[in-house]
Amino acid sequence: MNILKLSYKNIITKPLQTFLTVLILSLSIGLLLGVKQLNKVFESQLQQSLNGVDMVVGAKGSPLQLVLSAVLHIDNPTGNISFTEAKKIAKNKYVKNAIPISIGDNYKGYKLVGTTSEFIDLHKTSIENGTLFKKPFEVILGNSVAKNLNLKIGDTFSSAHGMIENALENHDENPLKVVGILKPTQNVIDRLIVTGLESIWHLHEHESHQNKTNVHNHEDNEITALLIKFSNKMGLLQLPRMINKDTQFQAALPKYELDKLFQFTAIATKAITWIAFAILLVSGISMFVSLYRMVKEQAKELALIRTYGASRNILIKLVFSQGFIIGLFSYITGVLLAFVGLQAIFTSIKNTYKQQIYLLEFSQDVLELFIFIFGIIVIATLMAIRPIFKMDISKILSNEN
Amino acid sequence: MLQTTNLSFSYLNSASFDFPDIELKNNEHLLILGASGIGKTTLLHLLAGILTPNKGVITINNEVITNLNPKKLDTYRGANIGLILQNTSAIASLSVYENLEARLFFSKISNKEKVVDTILEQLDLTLVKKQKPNTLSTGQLQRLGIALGVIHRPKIILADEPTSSLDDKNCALVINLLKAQAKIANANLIIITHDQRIKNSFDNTLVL
Repeated sequence: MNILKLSYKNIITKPLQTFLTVLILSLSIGLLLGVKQLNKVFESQLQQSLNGVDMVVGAKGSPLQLVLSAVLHIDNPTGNISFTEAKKIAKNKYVKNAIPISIGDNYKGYKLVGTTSEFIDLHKTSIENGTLFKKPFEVILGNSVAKNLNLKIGDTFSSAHGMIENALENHDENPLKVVGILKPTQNVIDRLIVTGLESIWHLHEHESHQNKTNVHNHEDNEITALLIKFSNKMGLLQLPRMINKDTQFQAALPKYELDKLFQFTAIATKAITWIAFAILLVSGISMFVSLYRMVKEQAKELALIRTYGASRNILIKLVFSQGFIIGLFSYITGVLLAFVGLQAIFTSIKNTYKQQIYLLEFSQDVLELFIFIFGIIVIATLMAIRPIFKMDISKILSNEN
Repeated sequence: MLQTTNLSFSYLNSASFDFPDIELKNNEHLLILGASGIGKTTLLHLLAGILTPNKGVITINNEVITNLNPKKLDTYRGANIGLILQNTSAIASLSVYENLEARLFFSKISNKEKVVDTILEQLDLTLVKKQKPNTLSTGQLQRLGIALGVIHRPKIILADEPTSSLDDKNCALVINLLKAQAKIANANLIIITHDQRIKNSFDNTLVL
């Protein structure tokens, strides 16, 4: 027999009360942890995907859409721009490098990006297997694409027009051939199919022939966007204004656009966090009430324990350890709840966006929350043990009932 | 060995009690008789160290317990006093066996030599040792109360109205059990009661 065992026995003698306290406390713990992680993962995932792109130049439209489509690859592009005109911007002295991309096709939901080899360097990865694309219709696969679609070097497939999977407009005449597979990055490139700009042009050139409109003109080649890194900070001040004013194009700053986006999501995150704190407050009170009731209802037992030789401190330890057991159990349940919930959300994200997401600093959040919960238990105990200090053992034991 | 001198106690807003001096040698027992409200339980609680007298001295085995600080008094009480309550109270969430284990734990005595099994045997509680207190019969519950009061071999066994709710047969049985346990523990047994039936079972009586 010891204090922990007695506490445990006392707790399980009141299953309903314990269940309610554990339920509400673990829910709030799970919610707090879940929201915190989601927010962290979401922001870092997006920030990471920017890969140091300072500016995106594309067709006029929504700047956020331009950023989402050209940098994060989660939206439709705003339109196309002339490659020739775009190259003029690339020559500006404030541009350190400019990577052209052309998007608009997909294979089984994985987006096909026509670009140059710099695109791969930008995403801080390299070829794991095979070689870089050299000829039109040669492609290299992001690591997740190869894995999820079970494609190997030498395999061929036909892309479809548009950003989502459909079987109606397949470029069946020009099958794409896998020549390389990229190393995994946990980056957006994992879920992209990368090829040369020419591949995209040829795919659509064919389309043009079919429609018997515009005979293909090499001067007329189009791209979707230019991903630009500035050579110095002056670029940030000068270039976007210049482009938006003097050209047909639109310049969007990914960092700025994402910050705007975060401001919207922050409201939702804050709201949920406050709700979780409110529930936590209620569960703290419910913890106090159950401990206080225990002290009141078991006054006779506590007095009895005093006659057995236990000091007042032992009774306080007894109350605290009951709170601690309930708290610990709720905490473990809450963390498991958050973990399972997050994994479910990540799986659904993976299915929708083809992007594998991982927990971020989860153990740190878990530890922080533990200290927090421990504080709540201590406060609830301190409030609940007041009757112990006023306890009149003699009176309690002589009352007949 | 127990000695009290000039013991007096008063509740905040009611009568005060002055108690006659008591002196018991080793293994001597005492029956304290008196009507209700005369301060019997108060005296018992003073002796148990759960009430502090306004004045007077209690000495048990040459230890002046009225001089002990609260923490030492707790320890002293746990090891040396066995209090048997009028209405047996035990920890509801624990079984009979676990209650006795808990009693030893709080008195800081280990259950090495199967102390619990022995007392269960002596008080005929072995069959119900896994039951919770609220499932016991009145008689079993009372024997549990005795077990809880004597398991740690106290120097003084204090029993509050142990026979008031019992018939003649069980009354005699309980008195014999208490005497037997006092003998095993080598303790002074002090019983307070208004039950005149047990007057003749004791040599020493004190009428309050």
